[in-house]
Amino acid sequence: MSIEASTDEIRDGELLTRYQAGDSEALAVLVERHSPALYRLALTMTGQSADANDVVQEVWRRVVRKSGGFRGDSFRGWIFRICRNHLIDRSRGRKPTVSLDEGVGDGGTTRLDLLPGHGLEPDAAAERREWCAQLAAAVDALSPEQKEVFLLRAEGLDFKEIARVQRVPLNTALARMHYAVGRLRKSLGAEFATERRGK
Amino acid sequence: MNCEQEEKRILLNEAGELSPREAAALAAHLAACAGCRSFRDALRRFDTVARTQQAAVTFPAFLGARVLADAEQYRQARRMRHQRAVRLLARAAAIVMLLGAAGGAGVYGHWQRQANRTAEVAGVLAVLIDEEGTGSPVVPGDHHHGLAHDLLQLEGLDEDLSSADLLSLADEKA
Ligand SMILES: [Zn+2]
Repeated sequence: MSIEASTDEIRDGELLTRYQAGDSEALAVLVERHSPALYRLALTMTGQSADANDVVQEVWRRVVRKSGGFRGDSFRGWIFRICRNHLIDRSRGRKPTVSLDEGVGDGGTTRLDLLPGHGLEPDAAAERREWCAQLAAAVDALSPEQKEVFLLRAEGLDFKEIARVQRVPLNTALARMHYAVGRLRKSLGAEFATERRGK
Repeated sequence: MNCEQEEKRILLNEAGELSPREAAALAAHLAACAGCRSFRDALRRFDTVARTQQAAVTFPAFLGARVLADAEQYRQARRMRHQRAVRLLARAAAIVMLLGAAGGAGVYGHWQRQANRTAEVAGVLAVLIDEEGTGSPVVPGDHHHGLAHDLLQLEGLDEDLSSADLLSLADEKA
């Protein structure tokens, strides 16, 4: 491969161009760079690691076959859009179920194990995990659109990118997140309850 | 003041999407509004936990390799289809040349414009790929239908190989 600079410095669009010109290592860099985020989104949306694996694989299948369809704005936004479309296709006719006790990794880890709390005193850790479990459940109870905005934000996408992924105006993406925060605050009780408005 | 609008600005500000002027106006509002500060603090806490949870998810190592193997398989299959198209077109183009400008090129152009039905293309191929090379009208047989089907499939299934590609390949070989 003719990548001299550190691969971190090579932009996604440039890597895709190299791949289209026959450089398969350029694709390897893209896959390594973006698959973990795709996997996390798919895992949260489907609730099953086996499903998340399938989703990631299918997203890259579509990228490889339609690489000419990328129009050069944000590659990350583009693949998240493909991922979203695929998740919508899959979800037709099936209802995802998420259980905190269900395994998500190869080593028998569960969603509960992934909740923060490592390194804290047992009581504090237990409390933290309990709270995080509540947040995870509350996020899961959001509508799919709101959940997506919440997760994409956590992946570091800005609202402009999220709006493109969801193919909605920026204001709609903002309104979804605004509504999601409101619902999460309500679900999570007094600590997050809306305070009296300053006028 | 409209706190709902300010809360949407908080969302934009946390993502770094607010202009310095708007950010300053928001800061002034936050200084005076406990409700919006509470919204911002809740948002930050949600973000922190969500990111921590995401960081704890391990991406399965085998998956990247599986994706790349799949891509390589597709690339090789595509290359084979491409080579087959080149062979077919080279043959067709050579016959067009043999037939001469009078009829052959017209037929070939007609195929490019009208290649939307297997039967039609099979008819044209029967002329173009006339085994005896006589150039006289030939009734299309199964062989021609098969080739026509393959050609149409190539055009229909492979987005990367458009009619324009096929034409330029034919030009290259002619
Ligand atoms: Zn306010």
